[in-house]
Amino acid sequence: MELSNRDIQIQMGSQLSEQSSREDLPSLLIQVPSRTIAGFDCVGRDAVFPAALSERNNKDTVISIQAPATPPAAAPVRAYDDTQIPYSLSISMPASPSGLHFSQFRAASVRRNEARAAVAPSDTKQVEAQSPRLLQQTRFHSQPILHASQINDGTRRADSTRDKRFDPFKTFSGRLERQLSNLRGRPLDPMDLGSHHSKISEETDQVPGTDRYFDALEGPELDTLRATEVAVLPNDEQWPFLLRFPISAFGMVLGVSSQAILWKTLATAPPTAFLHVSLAVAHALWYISLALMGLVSCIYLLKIVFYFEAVRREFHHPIRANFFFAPWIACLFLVQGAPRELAQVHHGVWYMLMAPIFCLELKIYGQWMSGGQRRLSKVANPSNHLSIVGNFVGALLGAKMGISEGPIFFFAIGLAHYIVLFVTLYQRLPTNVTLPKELHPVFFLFVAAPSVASMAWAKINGEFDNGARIAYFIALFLYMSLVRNQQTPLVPTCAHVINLMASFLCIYMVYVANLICVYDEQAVRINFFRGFRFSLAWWAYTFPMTGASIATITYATEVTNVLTRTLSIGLSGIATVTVAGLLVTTMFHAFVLRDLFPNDVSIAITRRKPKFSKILAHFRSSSSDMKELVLSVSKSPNTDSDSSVTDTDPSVTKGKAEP
Amino acid sequence: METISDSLKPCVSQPLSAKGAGLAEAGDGGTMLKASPAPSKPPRLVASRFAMLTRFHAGYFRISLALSGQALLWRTLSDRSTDPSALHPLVQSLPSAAFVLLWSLALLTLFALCVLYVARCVVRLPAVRAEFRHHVGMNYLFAPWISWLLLLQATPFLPPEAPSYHMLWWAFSLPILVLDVKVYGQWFTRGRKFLSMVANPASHMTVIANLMTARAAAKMGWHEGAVAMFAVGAAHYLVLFVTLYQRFLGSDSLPAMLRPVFFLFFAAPSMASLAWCSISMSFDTGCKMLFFLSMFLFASLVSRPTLFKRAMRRFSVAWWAYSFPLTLLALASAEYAQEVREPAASVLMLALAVLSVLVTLALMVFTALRPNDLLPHDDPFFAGTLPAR
Repeated sequence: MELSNRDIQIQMGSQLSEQSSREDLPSLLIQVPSRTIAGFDCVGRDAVFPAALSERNNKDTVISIQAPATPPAAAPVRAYDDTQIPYSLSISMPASPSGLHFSQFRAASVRRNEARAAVAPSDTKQVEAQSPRLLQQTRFHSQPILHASQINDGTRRADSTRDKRFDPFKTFSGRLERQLSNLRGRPLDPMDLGSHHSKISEETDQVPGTDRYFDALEGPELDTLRATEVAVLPNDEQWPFLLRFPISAFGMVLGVSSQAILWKTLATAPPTAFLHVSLAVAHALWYISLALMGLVSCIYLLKIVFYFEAVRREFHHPIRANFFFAPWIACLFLVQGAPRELAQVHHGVWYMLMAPIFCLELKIYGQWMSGGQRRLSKVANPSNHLSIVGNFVGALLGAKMGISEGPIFFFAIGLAHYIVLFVTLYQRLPTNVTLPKELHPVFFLFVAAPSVASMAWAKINGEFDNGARIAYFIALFLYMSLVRNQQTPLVPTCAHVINLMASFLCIYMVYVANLICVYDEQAVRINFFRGFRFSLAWWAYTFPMTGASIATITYATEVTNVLTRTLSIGLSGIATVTVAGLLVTTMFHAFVLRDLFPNDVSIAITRRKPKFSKILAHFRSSSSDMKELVLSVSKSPNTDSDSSVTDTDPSVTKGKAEP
Repeated sequence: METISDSLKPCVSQPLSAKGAGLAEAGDGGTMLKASPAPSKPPRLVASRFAMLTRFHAGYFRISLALSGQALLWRTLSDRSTDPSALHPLVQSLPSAAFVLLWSLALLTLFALCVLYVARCVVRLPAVRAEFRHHVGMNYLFAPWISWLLLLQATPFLPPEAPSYHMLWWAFSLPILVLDVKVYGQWFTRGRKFLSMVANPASHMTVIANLMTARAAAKMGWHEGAVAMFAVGAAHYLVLFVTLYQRFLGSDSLPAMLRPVFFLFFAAPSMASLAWCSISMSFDTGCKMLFFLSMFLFASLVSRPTLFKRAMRRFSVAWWAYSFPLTLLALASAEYAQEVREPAASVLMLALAVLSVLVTLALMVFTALRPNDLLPHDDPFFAGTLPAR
């Protein structure tokens, strides 16, 4: 059965490529969808259940096409008539294992259509006339043609030809966007309204449970899909930018704004006065971080407006949830680094910033305590420190502003939960699956809470007393132990020779070295450094270093000698160099590799565990698609599109290599 | 079984109606169903049917805890001669007889419960032993002593310096010490009762007992003893807090009916705040931090009502667990308001005190209206099911 189906395909492809007579083509094209679509569509499933094909034929025709519903079949036929597109039929969409994977090769087909459109622009209008209905009925099969029209006609917005795959992640399942376009004067497509009761919205209607996040994802930041899992969204092409924009982008603001505070402290603190650092540096950094904050929060606000479901899934992600504290902590940093006297800032600002932190804490800590799926013994991870450190940062800022009771409140909450988290993380319970085994930058968050807590306690008490010292020395010890334990196999000498070298730098260097050597052969990276991928979240891991250096300067103000001065300058240097290096890496990823915002698969996991047959079908379909692609490429001898096909080839193979 | 429950009805409803009477006299004016002032126990029923004693357990001391806590709260509020807060005239306007009545009601309830429990010890010793081995029930063996200590501190006629006060302190503290040694020893030596397995919110009772002892000792001027008890309590509170927050998968052993016990989460830091305040003679930063932690935990629990939904379906004695933590929180807020002297703090104290009084009143009314539910057949705490662990 399967063999015969494939025979038909191949035959078709060869017929086309041989440019057989024009009378044959239309009849074949009309009849092929209604008759052998099942053969096209379920290559993968046929491979699994070859015997059940006859029953499946019926079902599949129901799903894929209602042939009678396309009465004016002549128009697309004419479009196909153009014999300069011999390969367009051989692109069969993959069998979409979860029912959601349409058109894995869309990127490839788009480019091909571009090429085609350049040759035959006269056809596009006819295609366009048919396009909405075609999309409705034959989503699986006619998309390449649609794209041709979409791309050619710049003025026509893709309202009716909208991409529905991302609908479940949009606010109200995309209804908001439709209404917006309606406001702009575009008529609502009646079919569009009724069509979103699909399997997709069913699948992504609810947020997956916590267990699913742990089952489906891996890596220290739970951001890689396991091999046995299938994403809800197509994994092989780029998603809309907003979907790829993670909450951890606020980490950048954290890193830069804490640098602004560091330079402000360097310029004003007595022990570092001999450096004669200009306040202008701090101000420049502050304005940069302010602009960054505005940019990032604007983009994220857009994400909240347009892709609320994606934000909801991010909030339920056990690690990402902690990053929802990042914007508020960054705001606290911004207020603290502001180029004016802190005592003049209105107290309302502090209360306004602490209110969301308080609400988030009620939510997150309540989840730990009440012991549902998110009990602490399960979700504990170094990134939980982000949810703790907000208390101390708030207490520090409040005490600096001269508020009496509020800072103690947040300090008390922070201290109690910090103890709990600290003990839990040190225990490394077997139920804690997300704790990274190897050293990862995320461990630097360990330093954050005690260093900020020491400053906050000193401010609350009015002097750098024993309590503050205890917290500071704990922070220093954790910092040093992170440095000492840095035994990365690739650069052992580096860590030993330069004793004070921060391990973040080491990790970072390993990473950069790895990046450079991998830049040539990209395939290696995926397997070899799976848990070591650069992500924007790394920015959030720099602020603990900055916090430790600020705390050291504060301590040096109290105990001024050569050692403390050296320490404060050294730690500040390390923090600054790390941030600078991270900046370079980010730029490298943004402009050279262009993968700063990769597909955020951690929000696109399925709600239930995919069935084994689906996984198998996924593999089969992808492999058979590969064969087909290769086949179609090799069978198209002539044409101008050769170059474009070979262009897309590496990207496709790269995408395929991932699962 | 029906005959047993029938025989229980008069036995239970009478002390409850006595409470209702006391309540009505205490200035509430709430109409009670039966205000028959017959507080004496009908011992013939108890003697004839010991079955009721089987079903009685230490969890019923929650009632006496709540009432004694209220007594202490009223005492503290009315004693506050220097307090310029808004609550002061309100408290002053109430006759002091109301407070004495409340105190004697608490004393009466506690005494009745103690008599019942002693009878249970005599007649149903295996049940008591089973309760002692139970991971939840064990903690409530501290409750009577905590109640006695509360009543001792609220005593209107016994100054803390009196020798009888010292005697009573020793009498009530020694059992707590013995139980401490037993329970804490079990936590880290007995193989079957590791803390990670037996920890549940009711374990806070052990800590509260220590802290209460410390506070009573500090009140009577014995600084060293107070600090010692505080240290023991604080150390174990730290361990318990961390363990409970982690919520190990294996230790989810609190029945849904007992969820109100979760309120003890914020009772312990409040109690620690009160104890430290008595020890250090001022409401310093440490006390404030403990009080704020208590407030946060309170907010955290109140903001997730789904946790208590299943327990709220039917009235049970576990409901009484709501009152005592709220009373402790109100006490701590009273101390805080006295230290800070800000309008916001006074408002907070007023709100918490009113809340705790209202909750206690509501519980009294519920108990008076539905005495049958107080000793149900399917009590998760029922002695028959106790030896399960």
